[in-house]
Amino acid sequence: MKGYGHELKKIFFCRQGIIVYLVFVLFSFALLSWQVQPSNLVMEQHKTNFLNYLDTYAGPISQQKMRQLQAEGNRFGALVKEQNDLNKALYAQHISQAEYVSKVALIEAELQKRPAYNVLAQRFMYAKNAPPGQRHVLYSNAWDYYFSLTQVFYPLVLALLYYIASVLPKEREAGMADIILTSQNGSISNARHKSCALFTVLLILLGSTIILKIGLAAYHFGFQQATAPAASLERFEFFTLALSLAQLGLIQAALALLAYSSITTLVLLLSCWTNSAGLIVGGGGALILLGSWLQEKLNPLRCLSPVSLLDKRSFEPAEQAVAAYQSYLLLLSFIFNLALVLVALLYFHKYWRNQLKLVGRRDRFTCKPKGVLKVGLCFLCLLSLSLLNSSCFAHTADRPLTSQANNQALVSLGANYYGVLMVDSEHNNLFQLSVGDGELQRRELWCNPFANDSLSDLSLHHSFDGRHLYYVLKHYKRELTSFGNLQYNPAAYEIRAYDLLEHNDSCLFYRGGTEPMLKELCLSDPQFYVYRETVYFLTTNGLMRVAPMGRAVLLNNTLTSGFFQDEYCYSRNLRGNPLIFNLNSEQVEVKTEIFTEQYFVQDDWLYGVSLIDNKRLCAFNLTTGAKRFLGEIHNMVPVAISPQYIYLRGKTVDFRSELWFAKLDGSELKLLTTINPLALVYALTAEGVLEVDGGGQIFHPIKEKR
Amino acid sequence: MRGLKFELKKQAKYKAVWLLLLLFFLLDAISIYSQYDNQYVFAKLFRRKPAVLQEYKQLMERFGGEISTDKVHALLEIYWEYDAQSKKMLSHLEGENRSYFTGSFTMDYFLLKHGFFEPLQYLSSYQSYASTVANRAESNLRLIQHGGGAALAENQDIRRRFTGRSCSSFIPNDSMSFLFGHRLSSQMFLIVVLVYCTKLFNHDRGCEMDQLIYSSPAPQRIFWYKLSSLAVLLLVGLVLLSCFDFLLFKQVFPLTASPATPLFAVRSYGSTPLNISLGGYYLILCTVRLLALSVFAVLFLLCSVLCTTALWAALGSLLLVFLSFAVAQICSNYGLFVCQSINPYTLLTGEELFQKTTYLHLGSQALLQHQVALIAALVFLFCGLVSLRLLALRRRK
Repeated sequence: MKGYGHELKKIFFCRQGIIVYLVFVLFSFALLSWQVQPSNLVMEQHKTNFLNYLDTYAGPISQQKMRQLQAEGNRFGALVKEQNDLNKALYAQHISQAEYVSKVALIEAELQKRPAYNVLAQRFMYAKNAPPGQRHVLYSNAWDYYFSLTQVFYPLVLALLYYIASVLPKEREAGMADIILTSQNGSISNARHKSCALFTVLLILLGSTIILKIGLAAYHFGFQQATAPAASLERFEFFTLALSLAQLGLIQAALALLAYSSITTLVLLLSCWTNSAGLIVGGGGALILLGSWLQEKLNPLRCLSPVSLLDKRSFEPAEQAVAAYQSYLLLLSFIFNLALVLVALLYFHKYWRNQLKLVGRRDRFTCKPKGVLKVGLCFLCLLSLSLLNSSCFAHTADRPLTSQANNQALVSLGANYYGVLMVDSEHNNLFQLSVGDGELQRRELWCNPFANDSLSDLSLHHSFDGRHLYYVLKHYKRELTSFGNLQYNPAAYEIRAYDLLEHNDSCLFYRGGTEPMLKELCLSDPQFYVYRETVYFLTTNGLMRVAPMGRAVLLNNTLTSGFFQDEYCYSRNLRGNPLIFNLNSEQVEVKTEIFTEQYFVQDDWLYGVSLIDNKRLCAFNLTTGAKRFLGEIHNMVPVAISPQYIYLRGKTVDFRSELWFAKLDGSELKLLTTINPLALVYALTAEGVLEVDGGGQIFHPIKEKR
Repeated sequence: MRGLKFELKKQAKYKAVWLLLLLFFLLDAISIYSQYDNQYVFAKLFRRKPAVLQEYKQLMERFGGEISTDKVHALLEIYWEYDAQSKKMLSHLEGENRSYFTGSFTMDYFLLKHGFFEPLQYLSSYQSYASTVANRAESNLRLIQHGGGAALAENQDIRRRFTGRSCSSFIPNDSMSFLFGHRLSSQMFLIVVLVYCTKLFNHDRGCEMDQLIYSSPAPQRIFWYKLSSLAVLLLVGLVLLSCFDFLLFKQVFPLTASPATPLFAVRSYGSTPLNISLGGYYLILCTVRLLALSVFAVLFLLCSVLCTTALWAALGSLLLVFLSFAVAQICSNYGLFVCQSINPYTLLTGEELFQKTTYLHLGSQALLQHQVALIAALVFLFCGLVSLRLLALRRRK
């Protein structure tokens, strides 16, 4: 123990060793803190309600819990129905406003729990899709955070290389190596002490990162239900082994220890043969490079890499078909690396014995080939196993190629600039439409020359702030899958800003490479809005804010659809109150006194159908709350608004649609046209409405019917 | 020159460097074969049924070469028949009485689709794509002729580069595509350079030869001899690795495009700003990688001069490599194109700079991303050399 303590002191408990360790811990802490983000934003926002639910529903699912959950769902349904009844009663003036408000407040307090219930129901359905007991319902954010964190790989390797180079080369540099060999301490146990000290340092480094990870996860989220099966997390949906979360965490830590041990012993062996620090560090670098290269392979060669033991893909297979294969590769990799560590340690001891012989007998160092043969045999066995295995997994690539969606639509951007600006998203042309001399005129303005590249695609969504046109360009890469199919995978998602005055096209927002948001953005193609160089997305999870270099922040989970105008996002709650989300203050302003079905905002006035005034068209002042009726317009829904006119959709007695327009005070209501049911876009100009047909190709100016 | 000879002799004695280089050649060969086996779409098919390869070559003789209307029509006639069959799911009904090129309907369809139809579709439609890009740039120019300095320059450049592009011949270019994307050899060579650079100054310092050298009448000359020996290693090593890669890819893949084929004939380079041949591009790529390696080498030498021990120098150099790799990853995730361009690691991998026509606006000037990268690398190299010379000579005092 004395020798071991002495070696540990030489390697780690010295001034430089402690400084390197502290730098490593600080760096790791910064890296790990940077990655803190809940995997389920809604669950985090309604954590209290969700945890209250978990008191009843946590653990394995059962028939009783399922019945309770259904009952809870029915309760919410009844509450919504009750609320609608109250709305109707209020519209019919069967109850007073005060009575209505007090009753609705109670219902809304209960409905606050609904987002948490929805997440719980999702988790419950996920757990239900597996045999009983295999998946539990749990609060998953802490575990997701813990398992999603990448190892602090590069800093750990650098620190390790420093400590390895402190074992033998430093002694040789100081001329102590020969003295130690000839001294009483220079026995074979010295080699054991050295390797033990090195592994202790490795344990300290790895332990520190794991403690940091656990600490950060516990601080930000709080760990729960460590005994729940690992498959309870969606990331381990296809993981083949039935382990608990705590067991999986331990196994991952043990595998990481093995991976780093493998790297450590290999570099230690290298340091036996050379004094050059450059070669030792370079050898370590080469090992990492090769390991990373092998790790990217999907074939059994991967198991030769120690880095593959740290690879998340082994635990989180993307599909059921490759799950067993990934586990098999992990097992092979484990056996190979274990053998490697043991053989390398044996060699190190043998090297030390030979060094002792060299000092005692003054003969040359010779390496017997038996060990080399053993290692070679190990390699051969594993390679033959791998090759045998690879032929089992060979597939004929005969599936059809995935084709890219070709979006065809026209998007109206605004009526206040140059007449009407529109984007033909098929050809990505920005053009201006106007009605001059009774004829429709189209003038091409600008287009991105590379938008129709075979590996690029355009989104349907555009945004316009009066000067800049913001449009989305999605890039794909053509890749061969593990099953031999060619498919297009998302490569990048960018929002570009085109300045209409300066004619400057620049990239405003970009996600590519390995960024986690990339796939979701490319596949779900959410509606976006750009305000003060920050991008807002309306997704199924709610309204999100993403800074160009930042992470996604969920601002409000009730806003899943709506429209943006200036600094506001406009939507509607279940009661028919306009929800106006202020992007500056990031607060929702609910106009409780306004009950409207569909509305548009123009110059501080909200134009919509009042639900409590016999569906009359009203204008509400957003500042003062004043209400005025727009003539006697009933049962018409506003579809668009311009500075002069409001456009309304009405229905005839035989249920045909009609498009009407009136002045903003409700006067001069006139029938414009009977709407083409296929029409997608109505673009507004001072001259009237432009109709775009379902194919998005032909434009008809709709003229007033005389 | 005697000094240079002496330095080269010393360099030749660094057995570890040569052994490492030899080992990397071996690993490079394995990686190229593995790349073919895992990423080439027909590799598994050819391995399982070698006769299909012969059929593929025969079909290529029939449909390859100069693209003509007759050839395209003949291919389409066969292909549409297969395509219609696959859509109607009639293959199992008609498969009994007809002969196939490869022995089965599925393999025939797969071969025709990915080996002939899709590449030919890309090549024959490329002229129209290029002219669309040029026309759009032209229409943008009409719009912005009275302003927009950088946008004007950008669109003028796009119009100039994309006007008149067309592909006249059809030869599979997969091997060249994989060759351009193969970056392991240059990454491995970077490790060799790291090992060599760590030794270059520290070796002399370790045996206290540096005092002797710097007290000699012309220490600057010795300094430049050392750098020249490094340049020789870089040049010889990279030329050897590049030739090795080129020959091996040519050997492993069944068919190789002529080096005179235009670069944009490779699908992933459809939007490349370069109007050069595949051979010319490979030379440019190698030159760019040489420049990147030189920048890294100078940075490693700076580490070696600044650090007191070889260990710290080596760790510092490796940290630089890891940092540049991490920065490249962050830039790739968040689209930081300027930062990406000035990172020497981007030059080392190379292909990302030349695949897309990306402009960076500097005032009223629009510069292509690779131009910015090259300028930044040259500036780094110059500044690095100057600081290295100053630091190395300061140590003498």
